[in-house]
Parts: sequence; C-alpha cells; structure tokens
Amino acid sequence: MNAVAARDSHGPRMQPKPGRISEHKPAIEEVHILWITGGLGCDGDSVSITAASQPSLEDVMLGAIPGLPKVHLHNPVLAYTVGDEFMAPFHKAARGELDNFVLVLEGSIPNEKISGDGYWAAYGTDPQTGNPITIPEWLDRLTPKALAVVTAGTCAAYGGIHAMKGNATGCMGVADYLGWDWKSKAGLPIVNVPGCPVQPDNFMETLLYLLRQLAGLAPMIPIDEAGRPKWLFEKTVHEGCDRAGYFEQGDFTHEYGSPKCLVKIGCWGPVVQCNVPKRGWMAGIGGCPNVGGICIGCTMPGFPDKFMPFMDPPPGSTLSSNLIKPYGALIRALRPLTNATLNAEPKWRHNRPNLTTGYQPPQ
Amino acid sequence: MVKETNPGVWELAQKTEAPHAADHGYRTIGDIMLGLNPFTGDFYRETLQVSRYTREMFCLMEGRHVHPSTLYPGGVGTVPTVQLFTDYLTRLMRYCEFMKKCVPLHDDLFDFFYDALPGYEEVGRRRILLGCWGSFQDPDVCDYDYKTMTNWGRSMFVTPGVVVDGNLVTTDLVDINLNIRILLGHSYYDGWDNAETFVKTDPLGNTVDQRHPWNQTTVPRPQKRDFNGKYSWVMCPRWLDKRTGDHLALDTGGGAFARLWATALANIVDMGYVKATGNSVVITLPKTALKPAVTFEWKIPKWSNAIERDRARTYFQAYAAGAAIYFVEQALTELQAGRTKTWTEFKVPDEAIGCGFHEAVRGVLSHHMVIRGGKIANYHPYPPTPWNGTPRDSFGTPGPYEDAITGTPIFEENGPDNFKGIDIMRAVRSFDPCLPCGVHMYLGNGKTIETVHSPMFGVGRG
Repeated sequence: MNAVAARDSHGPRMQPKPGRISEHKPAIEEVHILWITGGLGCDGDSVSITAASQPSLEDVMLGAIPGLPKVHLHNPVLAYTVGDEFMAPFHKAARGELDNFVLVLEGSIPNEKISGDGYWAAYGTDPQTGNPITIPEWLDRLTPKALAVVTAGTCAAYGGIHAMKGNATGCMGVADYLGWDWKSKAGLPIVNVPGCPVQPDNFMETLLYLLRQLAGLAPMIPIDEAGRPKWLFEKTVHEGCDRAGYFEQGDFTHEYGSPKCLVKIGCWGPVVQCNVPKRGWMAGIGGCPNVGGICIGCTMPGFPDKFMPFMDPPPGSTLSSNLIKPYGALIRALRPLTNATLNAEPKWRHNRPNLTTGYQPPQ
Repeated sequence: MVKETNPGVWELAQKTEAPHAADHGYRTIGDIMLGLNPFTGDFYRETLQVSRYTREMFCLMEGRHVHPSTLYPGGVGTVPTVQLFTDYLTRLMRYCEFMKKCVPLHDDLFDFFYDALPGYEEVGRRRILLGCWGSFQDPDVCDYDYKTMTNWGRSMFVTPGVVVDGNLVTTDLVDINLNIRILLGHSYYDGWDNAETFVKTDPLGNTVDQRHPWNQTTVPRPQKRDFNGKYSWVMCPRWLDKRTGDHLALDTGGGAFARLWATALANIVDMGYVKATGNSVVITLPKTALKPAVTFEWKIPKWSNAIERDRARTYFQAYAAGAAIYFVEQALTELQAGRTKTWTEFKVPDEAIGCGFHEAVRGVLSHHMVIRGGKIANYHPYPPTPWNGTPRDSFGTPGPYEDAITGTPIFEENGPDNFKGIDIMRAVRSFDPCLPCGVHMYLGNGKTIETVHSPMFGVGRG
C-alpha cells in the first residue's frame, strides 16, 4: 500500500521492490478451540458449520490458510475422543494449564440460580463432587482465561427460542450472563455470530478473522452494539434480497409459493440484519426469502418474541407497502414500454442484399 | 482408532483384501480404515464434501439447513422451476454415483469385523424392538385426515411399523398413536395423573390414555442427580403392546434400521428404484457418469446390534437417493404439466387436536397438539432421542442404550490403564452418531459403569 501511495505521489514510476514471501510465524503457535454445545440448544450450529466452505472446517484444522496458528478443535459433535479423555482439555483450561484457547458457546445459558440442587443444562461431571457441571459454572471457570469468547448461533448470543416469554429456565445469552461490556484477557469483547442456525460461512469466517487477529495479522475485530461482526451484519435482509425489486414495484404476494415480495405474508426482511439472502446459505445456494421463506428475524436479539405471531405481516410493513404502491404501479406501467424496446433487435440486422448498419467506409 | 484399541485387528485389516475393492477403490480393509480417519482420511474428507452438496439440494428448496425456512401450514413457499429441479437432479446423480462406492465400502468393513472378531454380533445387541413412524407421503392418497390415517399411513414410501422379535406387530398409524405412553420413571418431572385430560377420545372415538402425549402436562423439577432416584431430563416414551400388556422400550436403531426393517416386512413400498420384498428392500440406482446401474439388497439381519444399525445407515442413504429420483421425476411431470401450486390456504381452527408422524434422520418423530381459542393449549414433540436415550421407567424397564450395552462383551485389547471403551462407544453411536460426547466411562474395581449425560437432553427437547 505504501509503495502504491509513493508511486502515485511521486509521478514517475519507481523501481518496484523485489517480491518476497510474506508469510511469517503467527504471534501464537497453537490455539485450542473449546466448543461447549451444552447450553440449551440442538447442536444445530455445530452441524451447520460443517457445511462451511469459505473457509471450511478442514481448511482451518489442516492449516490451509496462511499465517494461522495450529488449531486444536474440541467439539463434542465432531470429536474423535470420548468421555474423560474428551473433557480433559476443558478441565485443563479451567485449571489454567492451557495457554491459548478460544471459547465457543452454543446454546442459551440457563439461569442456574433458580434450579436448586439440580441443573437445567450441564456439561461433564465434576470429578470432586460427582455432580454435573452447569454451563454458568463453565463460563465462570473458563472465561477469565480465554483469549476470546465467541457465540455460535442466536441461542448463545441472545437466548433465542429457549428464552422466549414464559420459559421455565430463565435462560439468556452469554453477554447477558457475563455483562455486555465484558472483555477477554486479550482485550476482546464477546463476539456474537447469531442465526438459527448460524450461517456456516459467517461463523467460520469470523473464527478465521479472530485466529488471524490472535496471530497478529488483523486489527481488532469490528463489531456492532449487539456484538456482531460489522461486515457481516450491517446490511438488512431487504438490502440483499433478490426479491427487493418486486417490493420497489409494489408487487406483493398474498400466498406462499410465489416469486414476488413476501412482506405481506410475514417477511421481516426490511428491518432484520442478516446477509443470508446476499450470501446464500451455502455455496451461494438458498437463503430464506430467495427460495420463498419469509424472514422471521432469527439473527436478531429480539427473536423470537418480537417477530410473533409468525406469518402475520409486520406492523410497520403496512405503511411502507402502501406508500410504495402508487409509485410501484406507475413504474410497473412504464417499465414494460422500455422493456419492449429492449426486447426488439435493432433493425439493421437482416439478410437483405444491402447494408443498413450505418457503416461508412473510410475515404 | 482400531490401531489404538485392537492392534491385532489392525494388523489383520492391513493384510485383508477388500472384496469390493473394484467398486470403491480401497485395496485392503486397512486402507478403508485409514480413509475414514477424521480430517486426514480421504474418504472422510470426501463425505464432508458430499454432505455439503446434498445440503445444497436441501437449501435449494428449504432455504437453509438445519432449520428449513419454507415449510408452512398448507404447503411450502418454494417456487418450482425448471432451474430448481435441474440444480437438484444434477447433484442427486452425483450422490448416486457416490453411493455406489459408499455401500460396498461399508459392507466390506462391517463383514470384516464379524470375521476378525468372532462374537462381535453381541456388541450393542438387544431384543428386536423397533419403531418407525413412516416417511414420504403419497400425495395421491394422503389427505391428512385422522379418520383416514390408517390408509394414508400405509401408503407412505417408508412404511410405518412396530417390529417386535422380528414380527411386524402393526403398520397402522392410529394403532401406533393410541398406544404411545409417556412414563415418568427416573426423569426430573412431576407426574400428571391428576392434571387436566385434554383429549378423552380421538376423532375415531377411541379412548385416549392419560399418559398419552395429547394429555401430558410437563412440570420440570430440577433436582440433585441421583442414579438411584431421578437422573435424567429425558422422559420415558414407551409403546404399549396390547397383546402382552408390556410397555415396550422401542428403539429406532438410529433411524435407518427401523425404517428398513418395517418397510421390508410390510412388503408394500414399490417405487421402481426402491422395492420391499417381505424380507428385504431392493434398491436400484440408475447409470451415472462413471458407473453402470447398480442394485443393492438390504436383507433383514439376524440381530439388532451395533454393526447392523450402522450398516442400515449406508443402505438407507441409497434408499433415500432412489426415492429422490422417483420424487423428482414426479415433480418434473407436475411442473411440465403446469401444475406449480405449492401451497393452499390454511386457517388455524378455534378448537382442534392434531398429531403428526414422520421420521427424523435418527428415527421416529411425533407431534401432538391441542388448539383452543385459536392458540396452542398443549403440545408435545417426541423426537428419536427420548426413545433411544430414555432412563429406566416406572416399571424398571431400562431404555435402549442401557439395555444394549448391558452385558456387551468387550473386544478391546487395552487394559484398564488405557481403556477407551470403543465397543461401548460403537454400541451407543449405532443409535446416535452425535451422542458419544455425552457418554462417560467410569472404571472401578473391575466393574464398568456407564452413564449418559448429554446437551441433547435439555428441557426444551421434551
């Protein structure tokens, strides 16, 4: 970048610097990823991330991206080891014997202050007491020692479905438990990658960013006020939706199975931050509204309560869709005129024995 | 893994030629084992890729995976187009080609285990007690009316059924429905004997038991774990065998196993590509890019054990591929005839009861709902995990995991110092590949005791 700037400002082209292989040793050699799926959840986020290809799980595990530290993944859904052997790194980390680890949480955090001698959700057994170790206990043990804390999916980020009104467990997201201003010992805030489940590449890309940051190759991860990576969540569903053109033309469907805009049948896309329509679900394929699924706001902190009852039109959509109607109707009437012109070929394309293209031979 | 737990078997595997090497490309059984190693094995990495393009097929119509976003009461939101089905079909045929290698590879591996470790059929073996709730409706028959459920249930392209000791006890969804019982046993809940009876009779006039999911009232009661008292969040679903009065702890065998067994015995399914015979299921996959048409036959095995549950998985993958070819052909016919409506208006009734039966990947999935005043008054889903992972019930009957590993012989060569428990892991994993994370092994005084705790058992899972 400096070389480019220098060249531009100094006018005449300078001799370029000789190329060099820029890969250098990461600031930390090895990182453990401790992934706890034991919150209230369905393991759907773990299953989801195996669909990622940008980067894929194996890209990160096998070191296919330059500059990454060596990654050791400890995730129960994907583990090779079992039982005590599987749990060993978690206990080791809690004792402070694991130098560098990133903690990934999946599932919402139940309120164990109300579960008495029992537990709502637990992960492993305390060798001393023989009792199950609750998820808040794990957070207390591990978060002070973690380089970073990342949530995979809406449950761990904000509570999600289990945390809706009337639930028995009083559950919440990780930041609700630790505090929204929590920082890791490396100075990182909680990084939330919401979604139900998390979009595979969104999660793996965030993890890759963090690994690169920990390796000294990237600046502090930019996140918004809800802890989401900015570059992934700053746009709305609507802004990336391939049906937004129908909205602009005031063309709304009132039944499912139509290619038109879904706002009137319950799509919250205009006010939900999510890149899935733009990015697709995987390999550019799918994405809820693209294939006819209304957006129910599954990436949002207010999910699900603030989007219910599902399938009812969002209250605010009446105003916007009514306002767009006269404009849309006019535009829909005018555009076919231009479109018809564009659908007709220029008249000089013919096989008559004369040239009508307007070509003038040089004199 | 085999090298770590059974070095003798690993030695033998490296010397044993794979009988179907020409089909799958692995010369020896040892080569297959290496191929299956996590991340470093080439077959493992290939299956990751296969799992991706098959999920792309799902996302083409459902928008996202794992939770689909296009399912609605009354149909789906998917827009059927030529492009959609082309995108689906091309991936499906790639998958069919893969299955022509995947099935013989697993057959070679599983057959080798029986040969290399005589007696291995006892690992994970339990009484044949299988439940399958049926899959893939026939739109020409199914009207989703409870009163005709017996008929349209039997028309499914995976036949519902209960198999006891190798005999097909029923294929009737009404019968299956009415005899589901939820027992309390060692789970962290209060009973509901004195709670409200939401549904006294079904729409056919049959009496509905207080312990039926329609009438279940869930009162969670967290408490200290006590293996002699209450120790699990999992409920105890059972199926009442009216012939004997037994509350059977049915398992799903990981899903595929019960589906194939019930379908084979029922002898109803015939889609061309997939056909039941009464004692087997014959699956034909058509010619693909590099391989000719292939026919596989899943034969009813002698045992309900770990290896046969695992073998059923690979055969059911072929089954699903064959069924998908049949379905996409129907879909293309509909599309080309201009019949593209995928949804009909559905109005939530003021007062109603409903139930649904289907197969999730790992097996039976039922839903029971009561609607009052246009709202949900009671709802209970029973996915496969509570069936397979249930604790002991109020009659003292153990759940399938416990049952299957009790008395399982240990073939592992390691002593107590480096014991991995691989045989027990294989037994549990044969029901549910995701579960071993929740299996802890305790060794004490020469006695192995096993307990299961799992994040899957959260209260929200019913």
